[in-house]
Amino acid sequence: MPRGGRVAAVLLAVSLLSMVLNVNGALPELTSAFTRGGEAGVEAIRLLHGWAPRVVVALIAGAALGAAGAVLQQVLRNPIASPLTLGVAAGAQFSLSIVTLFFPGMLAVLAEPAAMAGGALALAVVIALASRRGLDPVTVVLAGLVVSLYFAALNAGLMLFFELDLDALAIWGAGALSQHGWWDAASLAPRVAAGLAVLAFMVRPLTIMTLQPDSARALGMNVGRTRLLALAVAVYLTAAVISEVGVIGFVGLAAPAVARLAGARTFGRRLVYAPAAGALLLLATDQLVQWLGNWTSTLLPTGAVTALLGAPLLLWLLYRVRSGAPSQAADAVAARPARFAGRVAAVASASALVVIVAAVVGRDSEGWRIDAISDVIENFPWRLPRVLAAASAGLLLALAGTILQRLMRNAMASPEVMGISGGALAGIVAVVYFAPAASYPLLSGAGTLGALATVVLLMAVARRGALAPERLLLAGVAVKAVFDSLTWLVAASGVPFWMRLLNWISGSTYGASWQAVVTGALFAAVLLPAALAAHRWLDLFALGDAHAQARGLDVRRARMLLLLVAAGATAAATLLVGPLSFVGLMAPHLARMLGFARARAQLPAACAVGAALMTFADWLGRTVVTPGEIPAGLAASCVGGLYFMYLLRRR
Amino acid sequence: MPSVARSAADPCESPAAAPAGQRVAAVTWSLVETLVALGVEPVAVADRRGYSKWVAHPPLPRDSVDVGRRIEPNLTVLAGTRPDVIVMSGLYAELVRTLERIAPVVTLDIYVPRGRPLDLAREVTDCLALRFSRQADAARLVGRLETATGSLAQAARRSSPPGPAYIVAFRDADHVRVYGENSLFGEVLARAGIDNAWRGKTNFWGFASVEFTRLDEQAAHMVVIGPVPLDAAEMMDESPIWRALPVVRSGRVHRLAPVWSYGGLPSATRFAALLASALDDEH
Repeated sequence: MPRGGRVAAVLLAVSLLSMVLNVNGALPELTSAFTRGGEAGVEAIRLLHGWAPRVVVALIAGAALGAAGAVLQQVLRNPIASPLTLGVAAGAQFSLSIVTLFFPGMLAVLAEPAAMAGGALALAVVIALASRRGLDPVTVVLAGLVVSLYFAALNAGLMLFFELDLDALAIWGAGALSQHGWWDAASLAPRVAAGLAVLAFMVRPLTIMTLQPDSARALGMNVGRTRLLALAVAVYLTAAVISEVGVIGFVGLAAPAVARLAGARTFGRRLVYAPAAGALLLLATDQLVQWLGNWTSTLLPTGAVTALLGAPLLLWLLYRVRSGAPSQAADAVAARPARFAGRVAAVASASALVVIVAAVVGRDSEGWRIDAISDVIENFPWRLPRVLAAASAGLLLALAGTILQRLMRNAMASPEVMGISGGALAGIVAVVYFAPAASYPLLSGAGTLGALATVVLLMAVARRGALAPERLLLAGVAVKAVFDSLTWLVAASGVPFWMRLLNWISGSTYGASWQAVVTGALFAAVLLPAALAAHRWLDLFALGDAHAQARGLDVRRARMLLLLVAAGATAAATLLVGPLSFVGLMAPHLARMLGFARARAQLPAACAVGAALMTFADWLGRTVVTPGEIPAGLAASCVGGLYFMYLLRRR
Repeated sequence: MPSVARSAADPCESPAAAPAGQRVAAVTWSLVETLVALGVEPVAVADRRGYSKWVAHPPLPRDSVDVGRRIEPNLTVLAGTRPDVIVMSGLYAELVRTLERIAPVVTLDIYVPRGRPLDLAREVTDCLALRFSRQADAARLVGRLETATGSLAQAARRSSPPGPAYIVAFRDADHVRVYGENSLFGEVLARAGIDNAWRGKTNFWGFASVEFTRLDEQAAHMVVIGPVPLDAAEMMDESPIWRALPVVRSGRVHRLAPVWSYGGLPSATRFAALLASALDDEH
């Protein structure tokens, strides 16, 4: 039996077993209703109108997502493409939040077109971003990641201000399949059937097109239009599932992989196997989740659980994917004379100016104001710590980003993108969940542990590829997906702790106490000199491992030490401003654009730029929507996300 | 009173200088509603829009300044209202530390692990009354609760059988928060002598988050706390499962106006009164 067959057999067995367990209690009542006539009891009605449609919805949704994944992978020639990794889900989710909030009465009518539009927009952006590089698989997934992050940040912003109103979306974002009648099944079935029918007609052109684009053109096919239609159908299938059921992670990625394992070599085969695998996968997970749900007082939404189970799968797939992208060598800008001290001083004083402005300009219930000296002094106790916290967080993120980009020889590396910030947050949240009043040193320790654990995991996953930079980035994507699904599980539980978690994620400097500021400053004071002392290593890494080794660098040890510095800096920054921001990504680039190329110059310059960026974001968030406040992390990621997209496009 | 923080000075003690006419800022809604019910007008409250939708009563004084989200009130705006004291939940220690930089903070909690919210709500009310010299008003609030639970008990006795009852709030068409014995509503129910139909586990705040289809059919009443989401209202009209529940068939679903489920004495009283009149309407 091929491996795929074995997977299918296991899924089938799990489904059947848990189905039996789930219906067991109701069967006697159902049979007695049938045999003896008369009215069915509540148990029987529950089985017929709750459990049964749920089985059908799981099968249909799984099939739709499996097909969508197979099509996306075929058209983009990318084995790790899926509705989730390409940002389609995040786009659909954001537009549904907008509808729920501003047109609640029309949700029933607007849900699907809105999800469709949001998903299509996200996919269009992803494709536009990656088209310059011929839709190279890794670039596509990176673009998808950044678009997802961007929409997720916007969504988190809405949830922060309307958390009670968007409570339903917290469940829906986690993908609960619960049914109370046959409506979802009835509305989903014809849509998915139509989408699959269109795809059935496209099997031949899509097969020829991807195998031999030239001969397809010679046959008179319009390759562009065929691709577009196929993508549109994939988005349609995804949007139908998302608007009807919710966000279901990873089925769209896993199902085509299982189909390939099962020996489906041609696209036509995959288009049959993948929906079947998707249907089974979702059914098995869902039945298992229902059964487990009997013992909990909290919701276990199927979508978040599949994501949790699916992330390891993505990691495993990464071993097998080959990227066409050559490793990005760090831009070898001609070395400048070492007299950078003056220019570093100029950048540093510009940053200092931003910090001062942020400290003295404010807004209260009466409006904008530049504080008089007396007010500044009066406001200082609660404004200054925030300004300093933002500045030191920006500095630390820039430090981590610079190290990671040089180490990975990848312009896209950063603590946020690689999931290291997410790891730090997971550590902090785990502590806060059990001890709401945990002390600051404890939180810093937990955060550092989380970040370190993530780094170790990333290294372990990437080892096989000898730490190939692109692989490491993608492993980061998978790690981030795990943290995301954990977050959604908290969201769906509906406890007020969710609001607090959301706040942490959004990264506000609000709670910054002097203790936090001092901790952050201490980290900066230790780690920046440490990194500066290692500036020669960082320059050597730019030459490539072999060259660095030849020049007498102990590559392994140096990399470990530098990663440790990056992890510590990330953890300290995450504690101050949360895991979203993109400052760690942007600052090193801006420093290089300002002409600071060598590590010894780039490090301090990037740190100054990072500090200024984060301070500015924090100030903006504090003042634009008074009395509400947009947390610094969100404000920074709205700006930074756009910059990242620009960077990808230009690359 | 284990849950009422008594750090340096007794928070319930009114400061020697200016016992009345203190400017108070209130962040946590349970404390906001208690203050307003006591006749103390807070100079600053968090999230006015949210309060009027989810807590609703008692209505906020017009002059109370909105200081933004409950979890992060805007510091500049809050400081601008020049409060003499800030009252809030102590659950989030670092928020307390932050706000302490603006004015002395009094932390009072009604929801604590293994706590009894109704007793704590009463203690909190007494504490605030003492602090702001409103003892007479506090006695009045307690009296109102007694009256409301009394008429709830009577209404329940008139409706047969009186229990057990589910108390739920719909989150979407399929999922509810169901309130157990350790919730504010659950305690009111118990005080009126009505059994709570939810016997499963609950969390810290006294509820479990489950699919409504998991609600056992043996209940005599189903109390639905507002606001009901649109799709849940639709579900109630259409779903065969919902309509098959005996409690729905016998017309014993009581949809109440919004009541804050993490509230204080005023919310508890309001819940009792609303439910009592809903039960009376049955006849």
